[in-house]
Amino acid sequence: MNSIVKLFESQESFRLLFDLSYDPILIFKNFQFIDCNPATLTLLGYSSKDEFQEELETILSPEYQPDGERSLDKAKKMMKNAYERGYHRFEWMHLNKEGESLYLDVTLTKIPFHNKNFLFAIWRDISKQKEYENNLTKSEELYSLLFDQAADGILVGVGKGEIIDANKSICDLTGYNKHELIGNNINGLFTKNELKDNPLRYDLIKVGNTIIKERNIVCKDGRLIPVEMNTKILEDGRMQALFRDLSARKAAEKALVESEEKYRNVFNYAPLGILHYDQYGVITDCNQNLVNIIGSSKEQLVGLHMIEDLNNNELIKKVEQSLKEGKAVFEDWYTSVTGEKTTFVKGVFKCIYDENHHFISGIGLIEDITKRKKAELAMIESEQKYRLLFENASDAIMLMNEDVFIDCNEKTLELFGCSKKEIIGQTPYKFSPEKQPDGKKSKEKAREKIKEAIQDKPKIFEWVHQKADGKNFYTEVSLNIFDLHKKKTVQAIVRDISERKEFEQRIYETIIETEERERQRLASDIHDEIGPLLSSLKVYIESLNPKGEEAKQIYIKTKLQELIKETVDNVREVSNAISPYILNKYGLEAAIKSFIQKTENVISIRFKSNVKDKRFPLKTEIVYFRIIKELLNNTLKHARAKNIDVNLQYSNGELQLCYKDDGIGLDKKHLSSAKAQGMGLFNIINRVNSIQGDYKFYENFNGFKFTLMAKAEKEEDKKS
Amino acid sequence: MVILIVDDNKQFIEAFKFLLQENFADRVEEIFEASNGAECLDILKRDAIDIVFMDLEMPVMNGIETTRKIIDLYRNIKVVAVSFHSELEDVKKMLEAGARNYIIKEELSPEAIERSFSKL
Repeated sequence: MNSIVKLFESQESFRLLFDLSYDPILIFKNFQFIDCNPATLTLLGYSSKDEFQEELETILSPEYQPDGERSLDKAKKMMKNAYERGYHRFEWMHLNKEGESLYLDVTLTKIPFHNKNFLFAIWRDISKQKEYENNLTKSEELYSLLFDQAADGILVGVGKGEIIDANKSICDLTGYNKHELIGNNINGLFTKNELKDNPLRYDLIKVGNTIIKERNIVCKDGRLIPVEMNTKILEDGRMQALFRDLSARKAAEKALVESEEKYRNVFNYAPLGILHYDQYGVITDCNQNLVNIIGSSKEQLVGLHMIEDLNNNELIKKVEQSLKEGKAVFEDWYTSVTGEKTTFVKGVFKCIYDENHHFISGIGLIEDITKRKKAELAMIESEQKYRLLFENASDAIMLMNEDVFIDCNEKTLELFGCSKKEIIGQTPYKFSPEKQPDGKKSKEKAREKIKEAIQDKPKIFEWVHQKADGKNFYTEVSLNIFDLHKKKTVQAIVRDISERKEFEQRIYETIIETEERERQRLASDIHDEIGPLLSSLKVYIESLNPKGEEAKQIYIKTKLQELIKETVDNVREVSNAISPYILNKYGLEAAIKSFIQKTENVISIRFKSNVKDKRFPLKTEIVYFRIIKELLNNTLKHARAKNIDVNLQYSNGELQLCYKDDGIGLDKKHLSSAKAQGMGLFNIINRVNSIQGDYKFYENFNGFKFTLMAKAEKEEDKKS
Repeated sequence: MVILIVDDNKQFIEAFKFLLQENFADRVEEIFEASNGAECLDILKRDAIDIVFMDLEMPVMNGIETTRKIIDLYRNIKVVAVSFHSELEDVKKMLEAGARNYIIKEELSPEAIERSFSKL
């Protein structure tokens, strides 16, 4: 009985243990489910053992376990293992009534009972643990991802800076790969000086301080990179250092500093006056140049309310416009309110806004263009003056592009006898005869002259032009080249020299006539004077007869002597006429005196001279002598004068002659009249021109007056 | 014969006169002289002249004009042109004006005078 009781008690104890166990307990026999405790049903969500048993075959486990093995196969394998080894523990995935996965830690224990082997399964729900493990894995993956993908370089270290992990960014930053960094000390990333000046404060880090510091790290290639290093200790005692590359920020900072510096320089040293103003138009700052331009002081300018304090309505309007529309330009004379200085200014007023279009500042750039404006006004005035000169010039002025007329003045129209329309667009050879006096074609020669002028230097030459009516006339043309609107422009000044040419022609003819007359006179002198004398000599000589009457022979000899003397005298006179003997031998003063002596009994001549026996170039002496002779002849022949004054003075290398008589005088028209030609005035002018002298015939003089002045370097001076 | 020598050169007139007096004294009755054409015409008005020895180039009135006038006024007076060789062109004009003969001054000689007398 006792044994039965004990058995019963034992069974009862087991039952209690079985039913009250917190862990699910299941009993299998030969792989078959026998029984389970209430904790099993609670875990799986079944209300009764029967319900559980109905579902048991189908849905207790998913078809596959997490390792991919079929649940049925694996369950048999696990049980077999337990039967063989007596004990087996493993993890298993079940499904509850709702089909939700349950992670279980399963312990199978073989229990032999009545020669039969029972399997005793104890489950422990490890779903929560599994979930935690999964989450942990995911978290680690995420951390790893963040670690590697972080934009900042990250080093994880222990102890005194021994690196145990490094992310991709730090590798990219330093140029080292992960394996080169891990296992080394972080000190290797810094220069000795860096470590000396800014040591790594592990002491502070380890007590929980986060240290943020700008440092330079040494890259694998030796470059130094500025970084911001953020170091702190992690919960697990490891140290984490974040490295943020500051190169771009540093460069930007540098650029900003430079930009500010540049602006500051522009502000201070720009040739412009610069001012800043606020949204109300009040000046907040200005540079020295503005002070100079306005003629005020910075103190007076800063704080000036441009809209309220200025007295120039136009400028006020422009400031307001700039505040309203963003930009305005002012250009006019401006008299400063504070400085009372008047300048011609150009001001650009511009407002600066941020990206949200909020007003930041107004900037005014003020330029003093007084000088430019004055120059412009002067230029306009100069142009007007030039136009006035151009239009009123006494010479024709024509402007050409190459050989085409582009402009001409009034005188041109008068000279050529045509309208401006007929000239503009035409060529110079359209207003010339086909050929020039030298036989060259006008067209070719004109082009040649223009080409020469363009290449070389100003050209002056004579040219025969043709008026619109076909009449030819002599001109003197001066070609000059200048740049007009970046184009080479030819300026032709055309002077009508017809009168001068005519005068020259008459002088030229007079020279020929005079020379011819002189030759005729000399021929006539020889012919009329010496010829008959020689013929007479011949008559007497032929009459000589040694046997003849003595008295007759004496008479003939006397006649012969007379004739020979007269012939010699005549020869001397003719010779003197050709080239004055006294002039050649004794000089100008002696020659004039000698000549005057011969006429003294006819008229009173006063001759004054300081020349004495000084000698001048032969040509000069001859010209002065001939002119005085000519003037004396004129006075004697035409003037009906009583007195003549001849004054010859030499000083400073110049020989001055003043000739006067108290006769009937000479008026201007005589100069160009035939009478003047007859009087030898052309002769005189021509002789003066031959020594480049200056002469003057005095009009309205009481009598006749003529002066002549010419360079006359003395022979002895020349020698010395 | 009454002769008139017209020449503006006194020396030449004297030489001419000397030659006539020396060589033709038998034929020459009297010799007059004039220094230009105008004087010549004055003498012709006053005196009866047979032969005029006329120079070509003279002041006041030249030989050609004087000859023309003599021929017009006095048909019987003979004119002989006296000239230099270089004036032969003018001598033609003298002959056209009425001169009967001519003498070249350079060749003045008794023979030349004789030749001119013989042609009268």
